[in-house]
Amino acid sequence: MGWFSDVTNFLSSPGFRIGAGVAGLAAGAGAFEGLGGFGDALTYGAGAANLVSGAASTFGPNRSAFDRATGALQMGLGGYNLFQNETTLPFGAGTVGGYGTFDTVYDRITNPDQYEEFSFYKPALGIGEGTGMPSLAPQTGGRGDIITTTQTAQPDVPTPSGEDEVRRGITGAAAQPLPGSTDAQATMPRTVTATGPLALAGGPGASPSASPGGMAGVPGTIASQGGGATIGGLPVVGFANGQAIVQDAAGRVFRAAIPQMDAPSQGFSGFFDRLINYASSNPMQATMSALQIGGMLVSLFGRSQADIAREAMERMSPGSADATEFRRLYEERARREIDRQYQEVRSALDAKFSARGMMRSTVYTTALDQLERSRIDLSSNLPFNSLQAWNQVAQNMGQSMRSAAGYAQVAAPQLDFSSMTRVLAQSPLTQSLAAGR
Amino acid sequence: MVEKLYPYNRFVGLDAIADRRQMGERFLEICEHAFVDLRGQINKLPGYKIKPGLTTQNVMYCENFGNNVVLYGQHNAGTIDLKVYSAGTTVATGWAWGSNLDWCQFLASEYVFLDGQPPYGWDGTAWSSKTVMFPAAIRGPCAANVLSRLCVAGYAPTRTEIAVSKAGLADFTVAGSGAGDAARINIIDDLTGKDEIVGLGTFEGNKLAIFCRNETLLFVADPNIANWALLRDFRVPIGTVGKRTIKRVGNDLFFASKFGVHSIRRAVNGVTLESITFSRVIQDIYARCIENLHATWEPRSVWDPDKGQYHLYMPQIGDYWGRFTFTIEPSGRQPHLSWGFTPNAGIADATYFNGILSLAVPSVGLCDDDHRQETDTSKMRVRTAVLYQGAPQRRKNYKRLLVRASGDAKFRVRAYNEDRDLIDDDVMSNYPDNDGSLYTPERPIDVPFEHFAYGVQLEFESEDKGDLRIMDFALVAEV
Repeated sequence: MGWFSDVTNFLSSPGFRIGAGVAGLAAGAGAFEGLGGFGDALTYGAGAANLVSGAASTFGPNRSAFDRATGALQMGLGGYNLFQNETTLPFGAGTVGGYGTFDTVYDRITNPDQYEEFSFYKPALGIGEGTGMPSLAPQTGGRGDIITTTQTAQPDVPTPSGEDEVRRGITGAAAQPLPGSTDAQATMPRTVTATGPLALAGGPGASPSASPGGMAGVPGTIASQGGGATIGGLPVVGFANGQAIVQDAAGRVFRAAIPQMDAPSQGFSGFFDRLINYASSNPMQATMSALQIGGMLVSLFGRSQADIAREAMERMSPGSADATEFRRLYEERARREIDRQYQEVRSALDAKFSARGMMRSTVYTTALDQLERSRIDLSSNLPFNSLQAWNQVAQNMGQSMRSAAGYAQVAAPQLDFSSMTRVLAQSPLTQSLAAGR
Repeated sequence: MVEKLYPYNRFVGLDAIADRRQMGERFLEICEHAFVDLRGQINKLPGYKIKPGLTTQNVMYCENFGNNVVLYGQHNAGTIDLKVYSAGTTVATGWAWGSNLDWCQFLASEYVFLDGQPPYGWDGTAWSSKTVMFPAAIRGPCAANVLSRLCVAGYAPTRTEIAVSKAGLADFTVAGSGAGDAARINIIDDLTGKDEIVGLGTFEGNKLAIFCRNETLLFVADPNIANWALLRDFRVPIGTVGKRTIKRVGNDLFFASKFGVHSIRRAVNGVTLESITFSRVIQDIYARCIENLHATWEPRSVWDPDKGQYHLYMPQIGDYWGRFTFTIEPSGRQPHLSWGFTPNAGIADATYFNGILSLAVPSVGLCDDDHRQETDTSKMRVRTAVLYQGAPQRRKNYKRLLVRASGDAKFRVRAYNEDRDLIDDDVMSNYPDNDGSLYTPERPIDVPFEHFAYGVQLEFESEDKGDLRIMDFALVAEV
């Protein structure tokens, strides 16, 4: 694997940030699998890559503040792309789209106050259109039950939007009342605020809120509309193990569960906070996005460059599971194509020679023999061809084994096998037949 | 009673399906050793004369090989010797006398085919047995060349297969898939029934006509063997009775079947092909010949473009040869089609090249047709239909016979009444010179013809050497 000879260079290459992110994303959370197979993975690849690239820039080691800022934006835009570009989501979730322009997204990320309707809890879908997938991107609001950021808290509703999102996400239907609830309740905007009563029942994965200026993932304070973050009236002085550390007036510090929040955060860190919050608090409901983000984070924070490189190298090896799968698909598809071409040519031969009264001629048997021989040749070359194809794909894709695999899985059925089957048409006989004579 | 002249001219030819008393007056009941030309005049066919330098031999096969070079088969102790006229080069084939040979020219060589035997080839200098060129599997009885390929067919056991040589090469080796490669084509699936190939011909230069016993197919040839194609929309539901009856006649392809003489030709519209039958008018005679066909010998034929005649030689039981002479002038709005039939013409085969019609006469040898050869005893006999001169039920008092004729052969005229009773055995006996010789007649022959009859049949007969043409005649009768 010559193209893996210099792992260091490979890891330091700009493209690796994307690849590593994608690889880690996939490895950490099985995001692509969660997308319904490799085929879907490629479909979402552009957005995911951008998202992860941004994440890598933001969270990776030795990153400057600017890198992190632009990485975060990139990540956001990746998320934007992820959904903006796609039309069909896995799990029959329906259609997602219509999130505005990049400018809008950027604006909403950086200036959330201008968008009162902004909420990560808002399902990123056009309710009423049969869609139901939550989105990482800001929602322009409008047709769904808007969850505003300025309403009073409902402390006894720990995951105010989760249920609806579950129903929407799975069924793709418009909001339906939960069992036991009324239509009015179901359609009423429900919000919580960080300034409300403590709701320590946020459960595992309860998200920290935004940390202006702080490093994402290491939130320092909870940003709220009221100024300094507090939980239960006690100021938050830090975080540890997913819990907030609050300090009472006597200076004693306590661990406290971070309450559920949906208030708009400030700045980039707020954005990621919401991402993390959303993904962690709705691991199933958010499905893909949660998995992606979760996996991304797990991967980026939990794996070293060496781990990623080793895994990438392993997976790009022709003996890897991905390569095996790629080659299997390649050969299967190619064999199917060869068989199809063979049958087509055979049918054409039969038809033409039959029409010509030449079915019992040596010309026909010779043509058939050539055809059969070509098919055998092509079939016998498939293992080698698939290996070559894998190497080519892996090389072309370069930095990302997973991207390569995903691409290959999708591309294999679409590869142009004409160069292979062209052999069938090389004989003068077939050419003359093709000429319709 | 008023004397009235009744002229008869513009004859058509033999009519073998109508009763002599009811057929058209321009038709002939008998037309032996004669033909009616496109002007409607009755002509005596030429006799034959052995070619210079040859002695009398039993010759039954012949085929031209260029100008005044004729290949022929001569009897030799029950077998066939192939010889070359006039070089005399001979090869003893060992083939049984009477075998049905086929001839085909290919790449400047003449090949002689016999079923199951390696063909012989004459390359212009020597005979040779083509055992290598023709492997045992493809030693068929019939052959044709088309688009620089030699085709052989009818070989056992696959008698529906055609072996096609390489383009421009005397090589039947099937190898590769190039355009010019050799091939085998089996048409068994395209035949409507159990059949076998018995003859091959070339039509329009690019079509291979495949004659089976019961049907005929056409293959459109192509320089690329892979592009050969059976003509699906054209099929003649008639086979051939002899591979040597297949002759190119202009752009048409004539052949004889058990039902008659047919032509494959392009229709007037220029797009489609058609097959027509010419021999309806002689159906009865033709059928009798087929019934009496020789057990092993096959009919042969020759096309004489000078005279526009297709001669069909029919071997009969008893080892003699009948001959149908089909005179055709296809041009014009009313194409002239005329039949004659000679029960025992004595000619087994013929070949034409450059104005020379060479004949294989078993009793004489390889001959030329010649009006003036001394030994010609061929008897011309032409009998008209019953001529009534008006109402058939009214009896006529005939007065005179006028004949316009030319040539130097003596002839006689017999007369029969409507019941074919002979009423005058030699009308010409009263002719002044009493020899019937009318080489350059200045005026019609006018002889007394005083008979009572409801109708008369005239029979013109000539056994003399020389040519003879009966242009027309007339009867003067009181009606």
